[in-house]
Amino acid sequence: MTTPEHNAATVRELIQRVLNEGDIGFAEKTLSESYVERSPMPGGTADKAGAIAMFTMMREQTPDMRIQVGEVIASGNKVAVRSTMTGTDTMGFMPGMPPTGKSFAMGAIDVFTFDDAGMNTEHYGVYDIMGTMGQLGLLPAPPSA
Amino acid sequence: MSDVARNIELVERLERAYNERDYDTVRACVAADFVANTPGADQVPAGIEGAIAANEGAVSSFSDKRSEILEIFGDGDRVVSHVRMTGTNDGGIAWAGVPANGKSIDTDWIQISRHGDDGVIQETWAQMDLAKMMGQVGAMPAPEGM
Repeated sequence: MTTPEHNAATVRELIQRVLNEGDIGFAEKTLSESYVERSPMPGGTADKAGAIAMFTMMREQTPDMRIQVGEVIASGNKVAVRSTMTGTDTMGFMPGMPPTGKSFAMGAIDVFTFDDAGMNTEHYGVYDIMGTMGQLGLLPAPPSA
Repeated sequence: MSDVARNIELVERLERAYNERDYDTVRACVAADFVANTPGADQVPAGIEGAIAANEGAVSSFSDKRSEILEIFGDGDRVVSHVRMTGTNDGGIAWAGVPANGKSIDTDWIQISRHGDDGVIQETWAQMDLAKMMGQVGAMPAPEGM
């Protein structure tokens, strides 16, 4: 039986090992086989394989990416994380976008769900994509009124 | 009632009050000088009057705007709420230069609120999926593959 504290520690370890250090194997171990991604990347699938492909893509698009955790709130089988991702846009902020060479800081809030065994079964998140595209100069100019 | 249950109930009451534009209740749930750590918060006045102005702005863009709490939980003095917002762009989005065009929006945000000993909200952190909303009103190209 897992606890909110244990789930919170798992999320911190997932962010550190998988996203900051590129240890994708830790995600293989932590994500349930029935994992559901509620915020899949554009064109990605909503299952465990899709989530792992997303982690890999994030590391490829921003090799110097770093997620700094602001706070973690755990209750019942839920864990919320407020964080900031920093990096340099050397490969294109998203696939298909031209690299700008600029650095960015993107605010995020994520919510993870765990099962009784402490496996991560679900995730959704909201990211300041608009603000980040603004930092990188990638926003289309508003139509003139 | 535990403090967490009381704080959750307050956030639920606050969302209903924003829907109903019941700003007396909003002012009772949120400290006048609360701090909003939200992208775009620097575009409105500080404190609760800025949050009320932002809600009024959303109503003028989407006259049928509704928000609905999809999930809510808390721990200590924090509450996490995942909220869905729907509406129709019948008023235009002035700050983004988007004219009224009748398009529907269906987007979401996640908010973390910090509550005082009396339950009143002192600080919030929120992220809203504005990129999705801008795509839905036709103001931003959808990413590849969508």
